[in-house]
Amino acid sequence: MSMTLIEHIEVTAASVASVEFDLIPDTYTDLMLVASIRSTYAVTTSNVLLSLNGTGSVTRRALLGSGSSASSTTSGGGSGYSGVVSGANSTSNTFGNMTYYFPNYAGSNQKSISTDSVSENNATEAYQAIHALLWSESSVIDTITLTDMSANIGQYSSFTLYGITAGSDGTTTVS
Amino acid sequence: MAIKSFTRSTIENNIFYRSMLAGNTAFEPSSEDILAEEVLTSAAATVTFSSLVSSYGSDYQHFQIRGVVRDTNTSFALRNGLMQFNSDTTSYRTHLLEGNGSSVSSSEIATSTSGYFAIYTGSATTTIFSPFVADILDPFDTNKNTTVRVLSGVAGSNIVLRSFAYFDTQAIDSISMTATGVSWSIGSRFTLIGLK
Repeated sequence: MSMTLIEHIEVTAASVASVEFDLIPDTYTDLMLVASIRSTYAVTTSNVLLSLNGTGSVTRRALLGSGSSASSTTSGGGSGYSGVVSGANSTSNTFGNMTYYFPNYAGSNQKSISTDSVSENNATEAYQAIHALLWSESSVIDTITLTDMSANIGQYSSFTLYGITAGSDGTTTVS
Repeated sequence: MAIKSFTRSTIENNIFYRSMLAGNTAFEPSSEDILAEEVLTSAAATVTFSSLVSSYGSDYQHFQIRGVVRDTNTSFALRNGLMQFNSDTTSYRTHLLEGNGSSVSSSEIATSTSGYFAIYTGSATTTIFSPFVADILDPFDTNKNTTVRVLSGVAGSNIVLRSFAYFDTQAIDSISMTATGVSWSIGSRFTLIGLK
């Protein structure tokens, strides 16, 4: 296995409406995206919406912790909810921390995606979330777009996309 | 895959390649490197990765620490590891989402002297160690407090997704991981990985 940096983006403006990786090569086995995000939405914790190839048809099943209670939720209809981030009402200079994993992103099946994400805050409320996502398209993923659920992505948020290449060493037995 | 020699192929076999790759796949160096690894040969209270800014600040964007650990406590199967940055004992807060095999809960640890980064075992069978993976994003960005996300678990006990923030924007120059009140056991492994 090897990991290759495809692109790193840092928000230098005060905020941006979205962050997009496009023209993603189809030569890797999997993709991994790590992101450190602060939303401009005036809440403690906001949500990041995921859109692939310009469509919003990503559905989720999620396990959530708020710092005081746990829950599980779903959202259909292509809402694109994909993870939690720190909002504008969280402690200043504090960002969320999340990883998206896109296995077999260049395959011809529908795409299942997993994310682990957390918001942070110097108070009781801060979220941890595990998401299982489904993009019901068989196309190769060549564009990944992230937006905030209700506002913008704040300054100094960062996004790093890696390509994961399967190795050929060792022995694998299938029986 | 066998490596083809450009020299041998062109000179000795009279085969012409338009590319200097001579039919080989282009080599792409990995963007993920093991920067340091500590496997304990004697029990130790704290493991510290230090001089991070000067050693890695210009080459790596993110850190990941992977570990498989236990400690010398003999009374409790479920233990907590503590993480501190830059030897600072202020300004941390931890939150967690946890399952114990039958129910799920979420809570916080408001103690500000350390981040509670992982659960692991103490008194379980001596050959059992507990894994964790900690992601530390943008550790050198002085515009940000540092947020850490950790997945860890103890066999037969709990699994937990934790996060903690270090509420200080200084660059992370050292990372210390301490076993609560006792020592990390012999064989505990801590690996620092850099992501470009």
